[in-house]
Amino acid sequence: MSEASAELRLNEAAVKRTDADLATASSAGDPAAFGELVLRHQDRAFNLALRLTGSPEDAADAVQEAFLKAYRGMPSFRRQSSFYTWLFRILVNEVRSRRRSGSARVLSFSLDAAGGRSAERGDPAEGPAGLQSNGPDPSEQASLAERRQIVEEALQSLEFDQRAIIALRDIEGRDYAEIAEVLGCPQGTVKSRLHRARMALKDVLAPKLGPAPQ
Amino acid sequence: MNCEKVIGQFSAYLDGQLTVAEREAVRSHIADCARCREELDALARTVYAVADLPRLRAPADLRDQVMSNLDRAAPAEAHQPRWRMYWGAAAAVGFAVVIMLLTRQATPRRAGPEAVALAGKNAETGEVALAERGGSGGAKGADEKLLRKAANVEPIGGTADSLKASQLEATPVATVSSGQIVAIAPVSSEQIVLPSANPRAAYFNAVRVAAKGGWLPAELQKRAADGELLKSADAEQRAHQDQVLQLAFSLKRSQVPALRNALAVAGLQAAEEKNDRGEEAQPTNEGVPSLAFAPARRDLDSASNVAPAESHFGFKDRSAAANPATAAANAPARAAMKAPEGAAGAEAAAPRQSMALAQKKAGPAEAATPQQAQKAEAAEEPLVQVTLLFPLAESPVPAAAPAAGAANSGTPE
Repeated sequence: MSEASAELRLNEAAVKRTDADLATASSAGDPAAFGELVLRHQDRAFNLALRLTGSPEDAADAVQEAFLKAYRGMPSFRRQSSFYTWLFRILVNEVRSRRRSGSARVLSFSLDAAGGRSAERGDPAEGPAGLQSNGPDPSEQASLAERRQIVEEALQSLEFDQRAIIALRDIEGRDYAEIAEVLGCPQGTVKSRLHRARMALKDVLAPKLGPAPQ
Repeated sequence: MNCEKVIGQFSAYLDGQLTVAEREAVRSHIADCARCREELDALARTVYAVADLPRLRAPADLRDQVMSNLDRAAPAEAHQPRWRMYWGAAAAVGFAVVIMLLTRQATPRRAGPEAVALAGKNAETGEVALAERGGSGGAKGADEKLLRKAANVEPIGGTADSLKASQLEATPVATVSSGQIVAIAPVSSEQIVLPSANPRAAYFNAVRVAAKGGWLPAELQKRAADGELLKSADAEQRAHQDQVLQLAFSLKRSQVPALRNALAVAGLQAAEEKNDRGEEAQPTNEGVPSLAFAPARRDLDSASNVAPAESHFGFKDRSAAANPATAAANAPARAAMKAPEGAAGAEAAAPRQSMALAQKKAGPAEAATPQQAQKAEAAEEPLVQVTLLFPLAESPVPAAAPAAGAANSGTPE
């Protein structure tokens, strides 16, 4: 498997233009190159915005605006950072400023559908809660959707910066250095802020999620 | 270390951001302190719960929306006001031209001044109208479309983003390989050794997590859904009682933490179970949600047994790999590259030795890998080879005696 996949990867790398290439091309006035960048990053950007805003509508707005700002600011894009971190920095600031301008909304959407979907068919990974059950347990499925809803709400109850750092780390899976770049703070700060944010979330969540499933 | 200080380290601990010494301090503390163990448990659970949130796709027409606005997006800042201004001016000019033409027909002489006055007036109303209908109003119309799309976004689901079997770069396999493997974290791969307090439970969980994430290939996916893969664990366990069950697949780097978090909780529960059974918690790796750690030292030699199978991972940074626990937990190449200097202390001497063995074995296949690793790095989000290792024996088997004699005596559940 390794050889075939290595070859595949090599070919892909040869054909694929890097983000940096695309950024250069789009700042030189190639909208198609920018379109490719949008395509590459829109899902992640949308998911981050979703966790930050708590609303798909606001998330889509913010992402769209962030991309436009990125396009306009492309000439100022420094190549030291990746396009990803640069875009996300713009996005986080965009969401933040939108909130300030008073358009903040209360969390109003539910991901029940998503939870229900992945929970069907016995949900082979009901998470650790499913440790001992092999078969589908309706109450468990319901509780998965519920649990996600609780987590969503708890996340939204945090301060914006705490939410942002948790989303970047635990949803986006970015490392401390990248988070530092996105948030524009030192790595050490990321570490302490992340800890505080997670502890805050834990304090909200722990009583709601109950004790460890047996 | 007192509790407060230990708790202060938990977040970094879960992220594998502690030094070896710090990590050990945390471990030894929680081995004795039930309260802190609970605290860590709760925190890991929280982190996992967040990582477990479903991912959604961006609205299907988001890109089109962006692209259509791109044309109007002047390269300078403050595009919208200017854009409106341009339209206002254009409308004014257009209107003026129309008026001029009309008035010229009627009373050619007086056309000029009147037209200008009219144009000025209508420039304003024109702009207002545009602002309502075309400007932000137009955007609003587009927004509504976006909103509708967003409401129907297709959830990708899973425990990490964009989890699709089609995105897997390598064919995942569930194989059983002999011996205990040292966690190795070369640049392009990550190995996660599960706490083996209850290896079978840990394996079950990992299979569930992987199946849910869609990380398994179709056939395995189906078997997992049918519970067959779980059942077969029993058979495989019986057949290879002294061995390691290994589940390998590729993930995007950003997906690794989600998996790791999920498995952390699985590990914790396995540990809890063990404690519930009244077994004494060992002050070592077991019973702790350590996600990637070097196994007990006596197992290190056996690492070479399996090294050839792992050689495609591209051992780029040897010294980083010599500090497997930290490096593996950190996964990103960046961390692996930074690790070498101080992190591998005296403690890492043994792993380093075993790595040397592993390198020897890995030698032949190695030639192609640096290139491969570089290419992987060049990609925006490199794929990471993840190998989950499930030591099936309750107690690791010495390399010298890999026979069934030392096997675990019966299944834990």
